[in-house]
Amino acid sequence: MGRLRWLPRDGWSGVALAIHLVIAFLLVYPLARLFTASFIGEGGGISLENYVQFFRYRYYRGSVWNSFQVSSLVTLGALVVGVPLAFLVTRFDIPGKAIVRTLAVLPLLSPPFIGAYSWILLMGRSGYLMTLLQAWGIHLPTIYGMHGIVLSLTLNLYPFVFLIVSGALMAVDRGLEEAGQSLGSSPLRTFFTVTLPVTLPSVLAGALLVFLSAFAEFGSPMIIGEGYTVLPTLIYSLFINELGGNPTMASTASSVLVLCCTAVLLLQRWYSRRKVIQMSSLARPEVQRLRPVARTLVTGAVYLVVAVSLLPSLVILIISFFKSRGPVLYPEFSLDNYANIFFSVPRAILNSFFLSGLSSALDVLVGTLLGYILIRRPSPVTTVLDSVVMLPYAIPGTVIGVAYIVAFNRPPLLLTGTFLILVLAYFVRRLPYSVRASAAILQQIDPNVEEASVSLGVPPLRSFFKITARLMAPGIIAGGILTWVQTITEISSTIFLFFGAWATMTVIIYRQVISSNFGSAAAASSLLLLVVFLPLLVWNLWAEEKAMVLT
Amino acid sequence: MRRWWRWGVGILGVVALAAIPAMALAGAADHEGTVVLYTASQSDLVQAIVPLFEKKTGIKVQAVESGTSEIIKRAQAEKDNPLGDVFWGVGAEVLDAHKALLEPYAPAELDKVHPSYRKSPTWVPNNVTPMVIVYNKKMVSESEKPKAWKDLADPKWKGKIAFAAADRSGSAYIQLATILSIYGDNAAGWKVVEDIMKNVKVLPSSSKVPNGVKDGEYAIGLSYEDIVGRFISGGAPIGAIYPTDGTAIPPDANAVIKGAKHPKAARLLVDFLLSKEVMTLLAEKFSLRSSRTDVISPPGLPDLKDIRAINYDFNWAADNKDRLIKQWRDLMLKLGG
Repeated sequence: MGRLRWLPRDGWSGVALAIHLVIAFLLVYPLARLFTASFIGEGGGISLENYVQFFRYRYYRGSVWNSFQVSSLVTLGALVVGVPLAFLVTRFDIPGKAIVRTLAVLPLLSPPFIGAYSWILLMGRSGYLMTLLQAWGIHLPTIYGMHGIVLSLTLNLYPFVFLIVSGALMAVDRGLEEAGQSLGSSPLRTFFTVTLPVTLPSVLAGALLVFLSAFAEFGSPMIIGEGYTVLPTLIYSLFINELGGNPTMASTASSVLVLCCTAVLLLQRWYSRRKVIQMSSLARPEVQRLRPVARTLVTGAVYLVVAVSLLPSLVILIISFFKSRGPVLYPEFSLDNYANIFFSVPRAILNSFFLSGLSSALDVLVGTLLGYILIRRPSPVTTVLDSVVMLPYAIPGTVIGVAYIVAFNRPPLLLTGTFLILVLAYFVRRLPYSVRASAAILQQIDPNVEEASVSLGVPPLRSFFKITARLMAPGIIAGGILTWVQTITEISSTIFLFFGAWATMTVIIYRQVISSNFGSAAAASSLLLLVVFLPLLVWNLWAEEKAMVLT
Repeated sequence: MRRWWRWGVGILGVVALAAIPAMALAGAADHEGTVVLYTASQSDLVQAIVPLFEKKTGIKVQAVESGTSEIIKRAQAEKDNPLGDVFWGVGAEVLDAHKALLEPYAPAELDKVHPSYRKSPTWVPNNVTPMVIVYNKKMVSESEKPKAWKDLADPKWKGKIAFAAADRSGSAYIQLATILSIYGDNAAGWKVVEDIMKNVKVLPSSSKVPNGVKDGEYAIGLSYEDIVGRFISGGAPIGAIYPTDGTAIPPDANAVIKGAKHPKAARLLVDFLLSKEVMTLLAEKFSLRSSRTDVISPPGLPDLKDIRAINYDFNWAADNKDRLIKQWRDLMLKLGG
């Protein structure tokens, strides 16, 4: 077995080499300058003085602690919401499952800028919900500050856990759970002693994505933080600043952010390696039929959670039909907002689909192969690679966007002004989703089947595509959906990289937001939600049907 | 194979035929045929002005619309091989902080601009706008509304005032510098600033201020006339107060980007944006005050003579920027905990 791994004829060596080259070119090269800048002192020599300054000044240092606090709470919240939700939806005969699955992905889509603003409209000091509740004598804290950030990010990010854990739950071998129950264990006990441990790598993978997303998120903290500074908002303020900011400290803060994220990543990996239980899942778990009362309760709980997390999107949808005069909205029905953006939308939707489709396809391909290399062919080199690939997850998109301009704005590497630079930036930014999803699902798949195939003479790469890739399919698809959804809503690097006719839907939204035309921004956001929702729904309906045939 | 070859020649021929007259035309017209505009102006302004320029000159405008800080960062990242030609509608203090990106240019009509706005050869003053206090008419009565910057220090406003981050937003920085210009860049002046800052909530950008006041999230905000005007003309229940202790009336500006690929077209565009024709249109349709002396005051806005303007020292504010920002940040840290 060990002999097989690094044989020169093993097709995997070539794949590994190619991926290393791609990562070096698209990630290490553009970002190297960013990080080296943080080690240059004021005199121009190599020094750590920027880091000393960073930790000496409370304005900088405090944001690190705030980030850890927010991200930990958000991760906890997302697990508490996401894991039970995934379990209930995959295992019980809840009506309208395909719709629930689709709706539960939508919070991830929380459109840039306006998503957080809709929380203010709902739960700000004069928010709709606040005013309503106050009329009934209920006084809730406003959305502003730390706990508001935690709430909005939890409801925004739990779909990571939901999606990845759902995929894993469907890949659990039916026999295991049945064995548990036939040995006299209650369903709840079986869940905690069998199902949860088996799916733990995926639970942890979801938790990691949530933690890192929360750690790197700047939109919500910026808009509802009212001065509560987390690392990404600090970096943003130092880097993208009307008055010039402080690019050196921005790169120092970015390095600190990356270090924190890498530490969390390594911790997660160390822990999930220890907890791996593998199985060859050939029989998928059955969907249980519930008695009417239980079914109503479960259905009610699931729909309630999803509905609450969709509140911001609902607000956006509603205000998109409001009448607007400049930046002011009036609660009267009108289609003016849609008319206002009508001409720019068709091309923008095509752009969004084309760019996100292309880059997501690349992500799925490279991510799946890379996930395999990381899990099945580990070596000191792949350990480094694993952390490097996760970098874009932690680095704010604005920083990547600007780094890409600097790196690819001179012949022979002249990509600025073309659509290719957008595709490559998206590819790199969202690669972690596919890598993590495929690595997670691989950890719960027994390598024996594939090894048997190889030892029977089928070439390794072919064995992979014939056997393992198929077993990985639920995980790969979950990762692919995440990648696509997160790509089509990308804005922070797009702002810097789009050019000419390549404005995406998010650029349309952004343009309206900076002009304070919230009605039009809401209309564009609603259209974006719709064009993502429909394909997802069709896909889930189809998947549902197929699963029923299988079981 | 042969068919491919024929197709190839055919396509090349068509391209050549189309390109030659286009190039000849571009040469004859004394410009490059296109211009790339980097603008932080409102979308509706861009949509109103750009077609006029295209029609007048035959130059195709490619507009990249973005927030001020993003558009500046973009140009900064591209500086080795600039892709943009012209900045339009960026705060003068912001352009001034990024002089290295600009190509000095003096339009023929620069002498029509009021001399108090001409502070640098690198940027061309465009519209001017007084800094104002914005208030929500439903939350603040006419009798209790603040009259001066100093009134914002009253503890009754605690937590009710919106202020953009002065270490990020050009206009918020001007507001800070204005208050210090009035009350002194010394212990006494900073005491006034501190008392005001005790009452504020810090927002990430200047456009969030009037919007938050309109939504009733804040009773009062530190803002500027032109953005507040957009909300008022949309019917928002807010009003602008011209502080009686004086205010600054800074310009925003246009500029040619250093190393622009279309320098001739860029200069034509800057000339056009400064023209009496465009400025008059902006005054009449968008209520924007011109930096030119020969353009009418926007109807409905108070006459500049009736606003108490301070002698805002643009160069002092620019030279002391790092120190004032650091001092403000330290103050906010102290107040925050």
